[in-house]
Amino acid sequence: MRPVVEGHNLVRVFGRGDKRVAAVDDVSVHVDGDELVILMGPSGSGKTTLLAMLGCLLRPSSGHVRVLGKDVGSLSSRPLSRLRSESIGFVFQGFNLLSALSAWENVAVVGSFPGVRLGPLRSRAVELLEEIGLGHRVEHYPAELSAGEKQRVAFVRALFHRPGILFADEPTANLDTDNRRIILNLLRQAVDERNLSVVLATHDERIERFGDRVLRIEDGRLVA
Amino acid sequence: MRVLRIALGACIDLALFGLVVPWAAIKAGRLLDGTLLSGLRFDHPALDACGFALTASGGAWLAASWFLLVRQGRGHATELFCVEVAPVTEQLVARGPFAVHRHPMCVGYLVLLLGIGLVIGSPGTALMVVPALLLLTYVYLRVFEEPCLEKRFGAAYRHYAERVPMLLPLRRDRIPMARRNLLGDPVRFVVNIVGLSLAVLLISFQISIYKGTRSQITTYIDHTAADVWIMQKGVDDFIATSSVPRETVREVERIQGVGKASGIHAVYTLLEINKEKSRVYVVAYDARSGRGGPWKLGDTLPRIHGIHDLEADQVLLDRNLAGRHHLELGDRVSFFGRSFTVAGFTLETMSIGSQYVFLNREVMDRIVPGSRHSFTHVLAWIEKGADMGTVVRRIEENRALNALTRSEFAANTRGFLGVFMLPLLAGGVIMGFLVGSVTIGITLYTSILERFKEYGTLKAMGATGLYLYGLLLRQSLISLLIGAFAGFALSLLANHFINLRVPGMTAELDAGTAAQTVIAGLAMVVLSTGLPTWRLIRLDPMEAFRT
Repeated sequence: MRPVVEGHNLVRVFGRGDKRVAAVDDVSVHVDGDELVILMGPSGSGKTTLLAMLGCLLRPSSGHVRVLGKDVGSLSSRPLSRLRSESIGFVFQGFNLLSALSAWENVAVVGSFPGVRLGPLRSRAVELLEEIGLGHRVEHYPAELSAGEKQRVAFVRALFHRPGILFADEPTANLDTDNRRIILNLLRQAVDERNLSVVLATHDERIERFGDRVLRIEDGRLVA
Repeated sequence: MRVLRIALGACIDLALFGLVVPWAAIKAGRLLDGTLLSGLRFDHPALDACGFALTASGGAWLAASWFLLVRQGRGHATELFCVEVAPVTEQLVARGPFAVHRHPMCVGYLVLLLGIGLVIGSPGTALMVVPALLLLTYVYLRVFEEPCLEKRFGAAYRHYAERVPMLLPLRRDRIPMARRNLLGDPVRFVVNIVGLSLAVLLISFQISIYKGTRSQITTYIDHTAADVWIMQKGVDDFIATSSVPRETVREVERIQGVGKASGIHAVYTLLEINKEKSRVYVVAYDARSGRGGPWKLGDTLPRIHGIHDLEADQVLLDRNLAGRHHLELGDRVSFFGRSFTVAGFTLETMSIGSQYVFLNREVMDRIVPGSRHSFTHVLAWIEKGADMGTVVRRIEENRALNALTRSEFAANTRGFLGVFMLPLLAGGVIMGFLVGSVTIGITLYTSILERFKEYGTLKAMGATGLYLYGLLLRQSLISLLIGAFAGFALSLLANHFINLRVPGMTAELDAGTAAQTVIAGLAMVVLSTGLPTWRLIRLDPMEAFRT
């Protein structure tokens, strides 16, 4: 089976001169279809940087990334935007919800970039929010939601456009035990029922059992 | 019975919207023109053309909507405060103009009134009365008409209202991200608007003062609109003393190309009011023809209907001068050793450090020795099609005379009187323009930076550079529009205060000033949205989060 995402000899350097730091140093990785890969590592190990490079949110200093067979480095701005909006979902540690939009609008906004009419978008957004038990929160704004609810909205947003792969960066870091379990179950369910590939970056050892495969990263290098 | 009700409805419609509302709107507009908006003029041909276009398109929109309502809706719109006068519509109309907005007849009517306001050159009607009517219409429709329609048509109307906007034809099939971002933090939004309006005020007020002062210097020359000014040789501005023989008027009138000519006495003197002295230009004009007299009258005594009615012991004087000295109609003022009755107030007759007082030329002939045989200036209006240069040369064939075109004479006078004042004010304009523009730019830029992380999120989700630029541009334009509206309103108030309360100063806000300010604002919008968008496009989304 062809990998959904491949990263070859990825290096990402921040800073210049004496302050030059390689956050990711010569990492090669691949993610196959329908698998949940856990990227495990302590804080500052480079997992967020690696995730961002694989998710097309950050250009590598060297090396290259292929997503669904496309060489990301060769894509200009517009096709890269299209790739993000059509094929990639991202769940951020800090939720990154748009504060001025309601829950359903936060979910639907990703579908509105190509100029799709709002009517069908709203129905689908509400439907997805209802599926994860947020039917009563569709008109609420991020400031009116709990941390767990925000992350669930962010999760639905990441799935809204039916991506081929979803990246989740410490999605449970700011959540209590119940909400952590809910989010992890949702991710597992997404892999099992929606044929989605998921890469989840975390430092929480308890999450390891939810994954199909675990990659360990330390000081910017894969160790296992 | 049905026919009677339709006729009654038509009569009410015609009386109310064909006569009462337009009459009241224009009346109120004119009142504002003469008071709050006295410094603002709408006399540009482009505004006239715009006015005609709006009147025609508003009327057509109104007529098309009415026709569709009667034909397809099988009824009439005469339902006032939920009381059905004419038989009301039986069927919901949702096509044609009604597919663009829910109340096209109201919109068409307001656009028509706006057009009329521009055509008649009434800023008060266009800028204040029509927006006020829009607000009233909105409240009326929300409180009375829409609930009635919902009651009549039920769910069909509710679905229609969900799909089609009420008045402004804005698309409803997109998330209104720009508006949400702006209103998401009301305090920040208000602060932004205050900043933008003050910047607009700063720019437009400085330009208003400069333009007002500049035109103040030559207000008499500009408004009498004489094509050629004739003085004694060696005199080339309105300040120096001149004496031209009376026969010059007839001589000039005989010159080919000259339509008419008239002599005036313009004397700079001290006017005594309530034992206080003020510097004034006393202009004695030919009251029979009115040439050289004041061009705009304010309040007058009941018997004074125009500048021709001035009697021997009466004067017309500048309204600001009167206001400063608490003079009222019928009060007495003294100059040339004589006492005169204030018969009326003149408008736009204030120059730098002095004001104009007008009296009948025949009186001047009697009270000032020597004036019976001469004028200080002769004004000439040339015939249509005549060549100005040729006429001037022919007048100057009399070697004792100096003839100048209006623009030359105005420029000389401006050069003399404005030599100190205008460069200072021009400096103020440049500073105001720079500071105001930078303030607009910084205000918009910082409001964008505050949500920079969110724009990075949008980029991470696949928003293109064009989408982000469009979003930022819409936000900035909405802010600028509201800020400019508030800024111009403040500027009008400030101008009004200056014109009424500050002696010797005039502020003049015209369409050109407004356009210059808006252009500066738009340039700042392009810059302040272009820079962050450029950064966003260059940065990877991950880097945008960290900014």
